[in-house]
Amino acid sequence: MTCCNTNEARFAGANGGAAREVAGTFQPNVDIYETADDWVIAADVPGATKDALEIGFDDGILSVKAAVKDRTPGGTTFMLREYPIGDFERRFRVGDGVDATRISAALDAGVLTIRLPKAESVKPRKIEIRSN
Amino acid sequence: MLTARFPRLMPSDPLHRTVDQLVESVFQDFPAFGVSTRRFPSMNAWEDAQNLYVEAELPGFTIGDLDITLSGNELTISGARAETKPEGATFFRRERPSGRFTRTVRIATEVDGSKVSATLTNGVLTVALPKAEAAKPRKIDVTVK
Repeated sequence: MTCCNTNEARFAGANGGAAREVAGTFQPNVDIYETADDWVIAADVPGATKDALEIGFDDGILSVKAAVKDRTPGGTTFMLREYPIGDFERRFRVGDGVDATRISAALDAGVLTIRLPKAESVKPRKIEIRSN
Repeated sequence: MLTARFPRLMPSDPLHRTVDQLVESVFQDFPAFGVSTRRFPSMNAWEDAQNLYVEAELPGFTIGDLDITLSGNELTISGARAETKPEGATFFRRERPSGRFTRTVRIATEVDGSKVSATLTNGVLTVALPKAEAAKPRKIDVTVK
């Protein structure tokens, strides 16, 4: 696999709900799939707006951050509280097969879609056979 | 995996509990996830003097994908989310649930069913249920003799 191993170790408390709450930062759920021309990461970032997104690529690491403000009024007593609200953050290790200069991202209805185009060198191609 | 971020339910003070008790939660279309006993979507609920609010994170849904009904004191939210993966593409990682869900919560506060409204913004659904007059807090005048 050339693309997008998730680098999860850096997230403290990734295995426990309580620790993640204290940290106030959450890993978004992602799908990663491969098409003929791209690798695509789709991440659920409910509550995030375009302005609150920060996507960076440095030294083979794609980092995604989304700042999410609390939506409930201060001093609220919750009658039901099944999830806390906080920022999203996740990093992905990206292989050499990606053309980093052409990475693009779009946000729609709380889903962030990042497209990582394959470098020409790794695309499948038809081998011409020459006859002498 | 359906509610992998926050599997833990934090029960509220029973005295303040006006939304409670899962009636039904099914996410059945997706054998990969199995028939989960977890609830989808996770919900938060709170109130102010005028309204009761129920919020759920539903990224990737449009309002047309959702069906919200209030029947008696039961609020039901159901809907479906399609896979984002185009045909012919290969999954490397699959954490986002897709398929159908239904979840019903019972509401103990009396609400005015004709004035319920819902908004879906950036993948967050908020249902506002105006309290019936009888359920609103009121100030009691104290007469001093």
